[in-house]
Amino acid sequence: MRPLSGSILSICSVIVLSTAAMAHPHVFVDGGVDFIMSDDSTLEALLVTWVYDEFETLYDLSSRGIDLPADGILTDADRDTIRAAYSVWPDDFDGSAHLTINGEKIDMAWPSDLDVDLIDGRLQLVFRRKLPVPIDLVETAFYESTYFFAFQITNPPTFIGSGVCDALVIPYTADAQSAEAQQNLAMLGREETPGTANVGKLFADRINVTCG
Amino acid sequence: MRIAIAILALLVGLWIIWSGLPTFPEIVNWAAMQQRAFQIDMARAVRAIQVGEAGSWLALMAAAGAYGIVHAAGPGHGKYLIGGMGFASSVSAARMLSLAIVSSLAQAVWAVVLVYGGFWLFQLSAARMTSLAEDWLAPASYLAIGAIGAVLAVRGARILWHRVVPRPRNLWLGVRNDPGCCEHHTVSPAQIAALTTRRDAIALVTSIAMRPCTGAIFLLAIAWQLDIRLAGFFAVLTMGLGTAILTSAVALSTVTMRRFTLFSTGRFGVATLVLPVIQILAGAAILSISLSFLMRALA
Repeated sequence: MRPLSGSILSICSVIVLSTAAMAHPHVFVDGGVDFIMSDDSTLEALLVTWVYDEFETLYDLSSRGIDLPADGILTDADRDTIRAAYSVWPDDFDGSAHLTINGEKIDMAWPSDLDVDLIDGRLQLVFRRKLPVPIDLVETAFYESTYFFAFQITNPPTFIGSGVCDALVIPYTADAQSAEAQQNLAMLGREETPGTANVGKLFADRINVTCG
Repeated sequence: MRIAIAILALLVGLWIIWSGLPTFPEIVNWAAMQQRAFQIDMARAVRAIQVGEAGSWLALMAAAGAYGIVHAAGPGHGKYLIGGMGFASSVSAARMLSLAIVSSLAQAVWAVVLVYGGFWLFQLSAARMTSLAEDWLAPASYLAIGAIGAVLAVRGARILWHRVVPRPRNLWLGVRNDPGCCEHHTVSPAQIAALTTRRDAIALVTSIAMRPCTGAIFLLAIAWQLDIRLAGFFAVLTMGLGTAILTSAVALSTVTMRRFTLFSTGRFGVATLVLPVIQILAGAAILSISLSFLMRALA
């Protein structure tokens, strides 16, 4: 039996693409993170899921010249168009997930293996962030920086390839620090980048992982 | 006591000018959450129109109107300009109301012209359209609104100057007995009512309307792509009526606060000095808010 190892995964918003109103965040994304394990303690990749809301979906598809099909099923050509659009990420996109172990940042590969789907009129994107070197899943933290998109964990995390780990989602709760940050963010226009680095981290939903 | 009420009224008036601005993140965040919900309603209504469901037009108009109201509760739509003008000019409530409504509707129509025109004539992409609005039209709007604030403050200062600085006297007859003297030196209430001229009204409406709301741009982009363009047009007009409800509320409440302030100070015989002071304060507030938005937009 392996000793209990605690892991904290915190996931925040962010990317830089589109949407309404002043003040960050601009786009709300539901979704979650699953863990692809090569054995009971080794993390190989993260499987990140984004689900846009119905309006963002309509806008995203419209802006790429795609009519949302009445039957709710994307054609292969539509999928290719969307995949192609999401294969080029803006310079300031940091991958929507950062991974750290004992406070040290672990590099992950750029999003790959992108799957595109329509689920009840909502655009779902699923992609992998592979780890160049598989790691022992010890202490990890995900965060992202600019809070243009607000990311919320709505899908319970699962472990693919291993059954010994447990995950507990801890939703974001407001505190003094995030309230202050929110005040500053409210001042920002759409195209501005927040002055505070990693501000999205303050609004993170977290996942506590225990393996053993 | 009355002077305390007057000061309170003045502060409340200035507060209304600032309300909905990022000074009150709670309002901004609440508005953002509501907008999100109504956007989803709009999306569902758009899909219902696509498949020809009964009542889907009504659903879209309702969602767009509601979106307009909560969207206007957040920053933007020139609320602080409308509020500042309502507070600082001696324009009637009815006229202020019509200015608020006309500027909201003009903004909606301009969004339609820009988006449909841009798609039709120039085959612009939705992303280009949004950046045109945010990178060029928003700063231009801040600049224009700021200029109006500056003009308001300068007018207030000039009126105040004329009132406190002794006028040239006719030594023989005294000012009161010489109807031909000084009339053109004194500033009549009509001149204080800065917005009564057509030129002023057009400047106010244009400064607000030139920046289309991003929510309207998105909805129009969707409507264009899905070929439900008439529905998109009416939905954005309804959205404009929704924003007009909120800007009208701001206009009316600031007109009321101004009356209250003037009424409270009336007994001290200083009322004639109060309005120009309010104009300077409100003009300065409008200018400083615009400049802070402008600097952020250009940074």
